[in-house]
Amino acid sequence: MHTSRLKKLLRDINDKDALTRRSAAEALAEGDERAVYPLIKALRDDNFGVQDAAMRSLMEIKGESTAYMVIPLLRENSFLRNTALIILKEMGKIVIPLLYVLLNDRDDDVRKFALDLIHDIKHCTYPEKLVEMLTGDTNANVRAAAAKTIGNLQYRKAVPQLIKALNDEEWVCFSALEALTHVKDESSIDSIVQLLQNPSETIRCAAIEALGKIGSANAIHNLTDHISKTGGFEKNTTIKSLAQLGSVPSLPGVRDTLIDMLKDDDWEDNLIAIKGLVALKDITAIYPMIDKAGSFDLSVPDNEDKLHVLREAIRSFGCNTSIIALLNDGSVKYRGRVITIEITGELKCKEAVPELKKLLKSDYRDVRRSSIKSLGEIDSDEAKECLIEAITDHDSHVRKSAISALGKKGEMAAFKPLMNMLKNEKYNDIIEESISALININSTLFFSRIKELNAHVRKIAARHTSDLNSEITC
Amino acid sequence: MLNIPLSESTFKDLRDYIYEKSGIYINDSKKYLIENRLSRILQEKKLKSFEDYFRLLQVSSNGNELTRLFDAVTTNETYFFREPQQLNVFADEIVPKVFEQKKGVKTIKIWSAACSSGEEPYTISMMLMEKRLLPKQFEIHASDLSEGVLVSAKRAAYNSYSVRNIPGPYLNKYFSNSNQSYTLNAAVKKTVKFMKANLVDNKNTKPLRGMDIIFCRNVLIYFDARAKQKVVSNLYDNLNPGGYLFIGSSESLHNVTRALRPCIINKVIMYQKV
Amino acid sequence: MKIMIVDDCQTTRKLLGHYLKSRGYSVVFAENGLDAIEKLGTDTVNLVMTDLNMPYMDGMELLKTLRADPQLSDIPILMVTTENDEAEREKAYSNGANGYLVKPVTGDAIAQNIKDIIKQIFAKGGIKNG
Repeated sequence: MHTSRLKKLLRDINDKDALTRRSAAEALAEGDERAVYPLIKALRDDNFGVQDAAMRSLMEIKGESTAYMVIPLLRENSFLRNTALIILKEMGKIVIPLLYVLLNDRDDDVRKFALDLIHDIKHCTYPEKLVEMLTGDTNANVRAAAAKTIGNLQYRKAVPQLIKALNDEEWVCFSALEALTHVKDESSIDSIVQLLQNPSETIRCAAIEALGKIGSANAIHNLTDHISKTGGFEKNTTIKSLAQLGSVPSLPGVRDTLIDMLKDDDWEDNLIAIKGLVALKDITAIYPMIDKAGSFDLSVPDNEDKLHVLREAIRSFGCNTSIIALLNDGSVKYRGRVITIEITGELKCKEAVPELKKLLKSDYRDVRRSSIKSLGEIDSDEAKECLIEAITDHDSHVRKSAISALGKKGEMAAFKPLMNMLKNEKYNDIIEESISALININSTLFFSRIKELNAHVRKIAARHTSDLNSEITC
Repeated sequence: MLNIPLSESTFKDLRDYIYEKSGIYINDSKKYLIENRLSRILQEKKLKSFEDYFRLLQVSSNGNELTRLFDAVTTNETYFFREPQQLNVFADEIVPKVFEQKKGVKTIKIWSAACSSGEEPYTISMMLMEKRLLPKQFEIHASDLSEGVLVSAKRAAYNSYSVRNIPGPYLNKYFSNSNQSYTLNAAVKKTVKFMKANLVDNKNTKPLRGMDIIFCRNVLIYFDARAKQKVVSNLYDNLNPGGYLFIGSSESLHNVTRALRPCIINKVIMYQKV
Repeated sequence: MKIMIVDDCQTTRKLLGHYLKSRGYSVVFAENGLDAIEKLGTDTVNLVMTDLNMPYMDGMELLKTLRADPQLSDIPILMVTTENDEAEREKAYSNGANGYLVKPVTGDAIAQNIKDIIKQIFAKGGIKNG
């Protein structure tokens, strides 16, 4: 940045007008070390917009000298301290060497903040120091922060010390369990299994969760064993862990717990429930899955992803009596019904054809359309007959879907009905679709009989011919 | 639908390209979504691979291909009177508050910052008209990244899905219906000024300074943390002191900024520039 | 009864969540004061348990903001923090906190404090939902 510009900004950051101060603070993001102190001062501005701009600019400037000047804010009031933490975290790895000295600070809070920063930056050049703090710091919050940080760094050499910390007070033990979960070292499983007998339900549940995340045959065996010895929240936690491991025993209460998890609002829990229900291969779970899938408002971003996950899960059950029964189950919501129809088509469920036929009479256009589309994907004579009949449906979208399906199949039995339909069809897009279908079914026969069709249709057909020719020449 | 695979490396290329051009970030879990949505474009253009499509984007000199791309990756369904509780608080509480704050100034300025095909700004206009505000008492500015949707917005003709939430009296009063297509009356159309704007670029958003109320709903989710901060910073700059920002009810600013203060009225959150 | 746990540390949120869920409370989480306010606007909560040191909006600011809001001023608030400082404790109480616990804290201590706070509030005239 040019010196004169910098000078102007350094004046403007002290201007009476907040907008001017904010603009200056924002522009100083392109500055160098000379901008740091004024920006740090601006963190104390009365105006939130100025504070915010100063914080973001300090994040942009980066550099060890900036970090060096920001670190003292960790000893200031709560707001400045927390702002410093945000800035230092954003600066990343260059801050790490400067934090070492804070790990020996007299103030428990300062040591803890330094550990929290190392945790958030996820990088450390002196992990043995963290291990020293885990085993030797006098403050339990600091030991817990050390455990948490070691876990986030996945520092495997600390596994023996983390295992030892399972005997520390509850607060630290919990953090050590979390850390072992991150490291995922199977050598810790035996020690964690022992915690299933801990007098504290919180620790037992944390151990159950840790086993669910670390996994191993030993973990599965112990968790399965544990289900029958426990109840309530702890039992549900055990089922959840087993579901995560994809090993769900068919024991009383398990299916119901997973269905409850599927119904609640936490998507992470829903995912585990879906995994568990798929592992259980319980087709009675399909209804609640369809219900959930049908409840998503697709105008909310992320719901499309969730719907995708549920559809894949339902598909994994394959074609079965449960999904077929849902096609005409009155309690299935409209959107859920459409999803069910689509999935039966994707699965090419021949057994679903009679039910799909009934749905062609639905009052809902989307239900009729998706039924026709699904019938188009199923290879059966009955499906074929439905499609041919639907060529003359009153609903143009249904006609179009049927024609498209018959064209893709190359279904000769549809040739004559399509030709007849074309003689009276009004909509251009359906005419186009029909012509494509007829060409696909038997192009020679179609062009030999083209004179039977009116001029408008022949004109559209001519475009198809030129497309065909150009593909041939290419 | 064609089954053309999208390789990891081409997905990353496309993702980086979109981010560079718009600040919109597509995370890894959305790869299949992109594959799905862009497949339609490939099919229409008779392209055989995503690599061909990427090359087309790079050499395309007009903005149409880019516009089409943005449309494909961001479009979610939208409709009139979306999140009615927010809109009611806006009309019943915030508009009167703003007029009171602005003593002597007779026009309230509102910006619908990701207006898509116009449902939001037109909803706002109809609500203000129902509150007996005269057109000269309010200015509604509406912007979007995509020129395609802006064309639709100006046309103001909608299908039954878009209008499904409109209360009957509004539908009868402000729309004409022909064959399941609902067109807004000229009087409402006139109240909204549309323009193209990229929210990440403050040069783009500068013409929209001095707003009393900004709606930026269900669009911040498309940005990563950095771009989100940039967007919110631009929105902040465009608000008058005391002005209000509405974001989607499932969205949040809690790790983005402390410059805008949350306020709650009737279980609706909005943010104020204090 | 629904309790909101406000803490920027995920491990702490999890641990406090376990303490409460295993005792039959339902729980919602927030990462800082701003997140808490965003969620309190739309979610009905019977008590807020909050840390002090958090980015974007700390616990003291959250406390003051809630006490100043006409719709949320009655929510009981329990501070759960590493700050073992008498001045901070007094400041919290003078700003309207109903309780103040210093970490590390046991599940029993939290449960007892919650019961005491609820008892006090009932004695004064009933608990309102947030």
